[in-house]
Amino acid sequence: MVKKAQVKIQQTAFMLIALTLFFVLVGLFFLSFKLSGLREKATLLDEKNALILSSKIANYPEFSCEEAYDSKRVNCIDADKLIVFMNFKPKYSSFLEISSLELRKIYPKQTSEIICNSSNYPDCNYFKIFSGENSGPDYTSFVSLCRKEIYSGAIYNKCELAKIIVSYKIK
Amino acid sequence: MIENRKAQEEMIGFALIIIIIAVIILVFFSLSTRDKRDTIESYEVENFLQATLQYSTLCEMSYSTNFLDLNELIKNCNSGNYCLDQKNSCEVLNQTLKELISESWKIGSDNIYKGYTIDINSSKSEQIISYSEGNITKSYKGSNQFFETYFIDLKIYF
Repeated sequence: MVKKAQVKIQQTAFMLIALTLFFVLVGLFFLSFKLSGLREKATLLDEKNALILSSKIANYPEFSCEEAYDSKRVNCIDADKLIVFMNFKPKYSSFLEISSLELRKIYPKQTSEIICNSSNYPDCNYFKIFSGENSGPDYTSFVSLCRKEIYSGAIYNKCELAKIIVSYKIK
Repeated sequence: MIENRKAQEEMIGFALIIIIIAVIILVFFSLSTRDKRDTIESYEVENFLQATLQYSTLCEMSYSTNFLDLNELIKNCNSGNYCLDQKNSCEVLNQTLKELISESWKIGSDNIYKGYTIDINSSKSEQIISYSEGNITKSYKGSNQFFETYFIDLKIYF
């Protein structure tokens, strides 16, 4: 009689262990499932933040193309405005709450990196608008870099592909 | 005899519970390792597409210095027009797009982006341009642009 009761207790104990193991496994699967989703969301949010910031900067009246290039353009930076802006070297860093702001031409490709200034513009490919200390990681985004060109007396629009590089201050 | 039968019933019950648990675990396992073929809408690709469509190509149309933007070049390619230097607009489009992508994204087996595919279709389901490069993996991100006036759809996936 006692032996039978012992077997019953043993069975219950095994069942409890099996159930606990089952729930632990289910919990682990659920957690890994949720965590993998979180990583994707974090990457997307990072990307979105960089895009919002770069789009915001690209659409500032100090940089944006506005309607100077036939139609209203989005994600478009006016290179002619930019070179004038760089000459004045205003303290925009604190206003924008960023540490550095650079712009690099991607296409058409140039063999070497030439930092833009008023004497070599537009034969250059790297705009160092401002760069400070304590820079965090870089966030990049594609923009269109437009300027006015003159060819045999006629003025036309020339837009190239560039990357805006922004980095935040490390707090 | 009765005790024996009772023990057998309990064993069958126990085995059934184990089978049910195993099935549930298998279902969870298959769900967690399922192929995720859904495309992640990417802001980076969307930005790239927007900037690329504004790029001034080397194709002049109608008169000198009227360099077409990439989006205008797509429309001209769809209409079968030729550039001022007698080059086929579709050829210029093809070459420009390939160069723009190769300069902007590092694509290769050793890089993050293993390959890409680009499709430009018109409203009549005609393919204006369609090509891919590298390996197309199970996870990819992309973006698309629809030209309402011309019913042209542009899709790009990395």
